[in-house]
Amino acid sequence: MVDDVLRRCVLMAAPLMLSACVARPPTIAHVHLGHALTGVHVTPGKQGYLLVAEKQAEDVFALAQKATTGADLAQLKADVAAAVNATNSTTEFGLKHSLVMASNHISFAATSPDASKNVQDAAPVFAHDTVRVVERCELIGLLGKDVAASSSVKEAQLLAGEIAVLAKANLEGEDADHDGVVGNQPAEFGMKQLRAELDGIIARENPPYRTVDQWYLFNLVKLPNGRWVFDKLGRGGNIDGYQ
Amino acid sequence: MPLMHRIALALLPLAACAAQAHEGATCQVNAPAAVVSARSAFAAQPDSLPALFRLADALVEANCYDEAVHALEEGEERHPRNPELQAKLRTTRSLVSEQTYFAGLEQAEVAARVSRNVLRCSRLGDLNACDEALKLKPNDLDILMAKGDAQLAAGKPADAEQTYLRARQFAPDEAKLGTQLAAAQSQRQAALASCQKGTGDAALAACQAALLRGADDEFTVHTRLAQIYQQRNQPAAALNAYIAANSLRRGDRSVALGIVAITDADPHRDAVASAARGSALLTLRRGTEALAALRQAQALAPAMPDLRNQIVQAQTLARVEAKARTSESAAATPTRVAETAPAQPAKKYSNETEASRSY
Repeated sequence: MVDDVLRRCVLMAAPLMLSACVARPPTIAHVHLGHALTGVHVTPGKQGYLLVAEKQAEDVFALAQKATTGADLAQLKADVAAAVNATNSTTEFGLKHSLVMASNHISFAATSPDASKNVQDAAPVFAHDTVRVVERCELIGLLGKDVAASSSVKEAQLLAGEIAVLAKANLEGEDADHDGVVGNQPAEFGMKQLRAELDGIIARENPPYRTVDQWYLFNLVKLPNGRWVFDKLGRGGNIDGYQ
Repeated sequence: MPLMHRIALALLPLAACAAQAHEGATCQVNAPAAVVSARSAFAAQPDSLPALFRLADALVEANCYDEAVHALEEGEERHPRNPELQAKLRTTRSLVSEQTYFAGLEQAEVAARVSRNVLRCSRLGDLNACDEALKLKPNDLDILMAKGDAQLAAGKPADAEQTYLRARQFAPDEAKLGTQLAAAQSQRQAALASCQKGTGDAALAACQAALLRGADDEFTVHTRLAQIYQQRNQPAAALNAYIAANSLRRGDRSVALGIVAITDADPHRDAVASAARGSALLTLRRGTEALAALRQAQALAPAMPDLRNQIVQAQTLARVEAKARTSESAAATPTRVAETAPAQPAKKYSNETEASRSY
């Protein structure tokens, strides 16, 4: 009787034990993708770069919209300055910086020894497709400087309106060629289209991409010889300038 | 912002092309010694992986990423599934895309600057921004149109007309361009009328607005501007306007009189003013004075164009004048007067007897 129970227990536990034995760490390429998607140790809230970029794009749009309604020049300038900061700040992971970092990490994924052909092919395309958002960010910065230097409420309002249009395009994409479709080519892309593109890359992965555990996300380090490894001491560090 | 969007769309593909064109030119024409040496070593041993890697490394070191990828891809055919070759190929391909990406980011900065200037030009009528945008894209139809619109809005119809005419070279059938050009021409005609008939500041502003380089009425406007400046006691500006008129139509007597009158009052003339005075005096058939003024101009600016020709004319005229003077004086002075004129007493010097003395 005892033997029978024991045998049943062993049989029931076998699949669990087997799955524990075959559980593998994620590929290095997928950890890099995870930094773009899920989390990385340096960002505010340790969120993935693309998540940070999306949040900043929303904030920029909200601040720019607020600025367009302002009749007080000082307040309008303050709102635009905040929008510019959320767009271009490096230290506070503004939209541009976060997006460039997301793109960099997808490129890191493509150069990893275990990268799939899908990632290798898609990384340069994704990098190219981010350029229009980066350009809008640059333009927001330039117009922000013009607002800061302006002594006319009318001029500042007009410029704030343009910043709001750019911020909306960065969020949702635009219809630059007036074909009635928003974001149907890279020159019209905003964060929405870039997110869809990255989701497409992930969906095509084989073996499938699975959400990477935080331990792996925060403990991937690059050795001086260029190899990527997991820091077994789990120091969550930033070795060799890797961010 | 359709205008800015169209410009942005046009600028995006430039980045990759520029980066690739630059790399290709550098790698093929001025390849560094390390690349040349690695190429010959690899040519001698085309099946050697170490030789291939040395070549790829040398090419990467010289930023010749595309060529490095090609070399490694060719090696891949000879050494399929070699992990080291695969890794190197992957890294080098990444360098190519990185290079294109960074070129794209740089291009984004340029495109943003153009868009900012176009926006300021078209929405705020900022003519400096128009010019800045045109520096980067001199033949861009949209920017030219925006500049023309800004000039028209700023009450500069002649400048607007000129800008629209330049834009029309790139889009002869653009309907909006035709409409705007007609508006500029109409505004300029109105300004021209005020320039001719008006007085004071309004007339001056109208003349400045109507002044169009190369137009049939350019001489008339310059002359009118000169008169207005003279009335306002602004001799330097008046002289400039007269000089401009004189350069368009040499030989006009009223312009020549204006130039001579202004330069008579100022003996400290620069090369341009002296040349203008010389030219004006030539028009007034005062050869000797013209020759002096032109020679002064030549001394100040020997390379000034057309001076030599005018000096020759002035010399001819001066000789004619001299002859005429001689004839006149010969006709006016009877010879016997000279004969009967009292002889001047011979001068006596105190040292006359001292022949050896030096004076």
